[in-house]
Amino acid sequence: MRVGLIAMSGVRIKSEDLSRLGVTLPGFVQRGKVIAALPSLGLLTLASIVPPEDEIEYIEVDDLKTVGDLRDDFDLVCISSFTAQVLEGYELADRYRAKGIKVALGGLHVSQMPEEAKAHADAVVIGEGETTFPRLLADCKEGQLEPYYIEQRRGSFDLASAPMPRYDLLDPDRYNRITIQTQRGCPHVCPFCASTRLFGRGFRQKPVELVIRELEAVEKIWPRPFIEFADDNTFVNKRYGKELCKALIGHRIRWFTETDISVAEDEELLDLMFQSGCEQILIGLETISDSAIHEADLHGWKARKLESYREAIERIQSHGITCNGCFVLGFDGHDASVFENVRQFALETNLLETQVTVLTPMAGTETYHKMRTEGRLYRLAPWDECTLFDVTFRPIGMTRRQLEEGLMYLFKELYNVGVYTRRKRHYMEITKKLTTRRPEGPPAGVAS
Amino acid sequence: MSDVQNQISSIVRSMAQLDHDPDPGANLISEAGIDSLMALRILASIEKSFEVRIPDDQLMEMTSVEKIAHFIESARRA
Repeated sequence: MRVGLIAMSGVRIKSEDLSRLGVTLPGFVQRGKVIAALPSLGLLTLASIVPPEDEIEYIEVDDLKTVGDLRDDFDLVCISSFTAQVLEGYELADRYRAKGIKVALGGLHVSQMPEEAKAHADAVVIGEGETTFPRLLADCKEGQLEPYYIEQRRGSFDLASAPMPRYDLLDPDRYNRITIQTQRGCPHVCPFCASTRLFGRGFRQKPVELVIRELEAVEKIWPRPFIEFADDNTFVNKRYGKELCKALIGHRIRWFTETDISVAEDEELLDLMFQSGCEQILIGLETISDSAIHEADLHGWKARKLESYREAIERIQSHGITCNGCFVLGFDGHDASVFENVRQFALETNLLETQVTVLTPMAGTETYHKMRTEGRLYRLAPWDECTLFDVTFRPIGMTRRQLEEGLMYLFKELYNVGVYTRRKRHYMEITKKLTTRRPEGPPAGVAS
Repeated sequence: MSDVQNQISSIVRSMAQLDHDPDPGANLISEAGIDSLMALRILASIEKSFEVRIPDDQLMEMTSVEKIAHFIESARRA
């Protein structure tokens, strides 16, 4: 059987004004390039389940308009997509099906909207694919695909059984950041989070030795890789985090991950993170407004941490680890003053990177259901506008125009050359003062 | 290659764990494969070693060993 694994990739922005502005701002362009260049770990993982006698090709489609003629001699095409690209994914699925090729759809969005996806596919994978993909492949070979392949208990897959992703399918020259996953799920209850809809709130970790085995597979192809951990919240369990960092230290990698602000409470962990090559952590600060923080995390964890944000950022960055602070704009508790408040906070705390996005009602999230129930969605299925940069709902504390213009204002204020340079200088001065050192030695793959 | 270029190459090679000295004219990010945060740490280390400060508005121009060396040599002559 010939299996095509297709990832809909890249960053999307529908707003022409914001698009035009974004490409002129170095701080925005850089992170956009990084995100666009990340391979789909989900598909590489499923590739490992495909029996060796079958042929696999991994393909990324970042713009359907310019993709040209894709190979069309597959027996089965599996397409994975985030919400913003899903309509393009459906269009591609339709093209393949018109040629008589079987299509399976899966991923975050499709798992929430299986009936919608089924209109464009022979089979839809709901939930994590590891448990259902083997049966889907077998059924396809028999010519008996079922309409839905459903993970029986959401978030129950044991990561100790995680198959080794097929990194060997990637063109080594095309990728400069490689993804590895150490955990799934997150204990926080952020109503806008699409990931926890797929992975659940139970926190599952991959055994450290398995993470290291995957890293070693990566190092065989990229001797000094930059690793982007494809995690939701890596350091919820500090003991596991320290064990992971200690195991990474011998590998001479540099890495990035997403976690929460609580890492700042553990100096030993911060030291180990730096020593093991941590360059940056992305933290969902979400909002610094007292009037909105309870909307960012329904259990109030972030509200309880809000007062510590400034000190925590300072502590993390003083360990040589840069912070990418993420802010969401457009909560009901936000009025038009939010933009200036975020600007001031980002500049005063010297966050090396910031990510400002608009509250987005991703399919299946509590935010989506709330907006829909309250009749505030401009379109009931605004998937192509779920880019994180486009406004898809009617805000409460300001007008739509104010929210759009406020986002543009923050783009200009936070991503311009002057601010970008100032952040660079701040980081350089921190690194001069560092007392913790990364171990010297030969690069990974060269050490005996 | 000048002494300054040699010293800078050595810092770049050691910090970025390169297998060989970078081509002096090569762009450290797009050609030598060094990411932007590492490039900043290298510049900080060079500033510390040579006891100079690169003006903030020139940081983004320090893209190769040659250009950094040229800046340091000019700063020393001034």
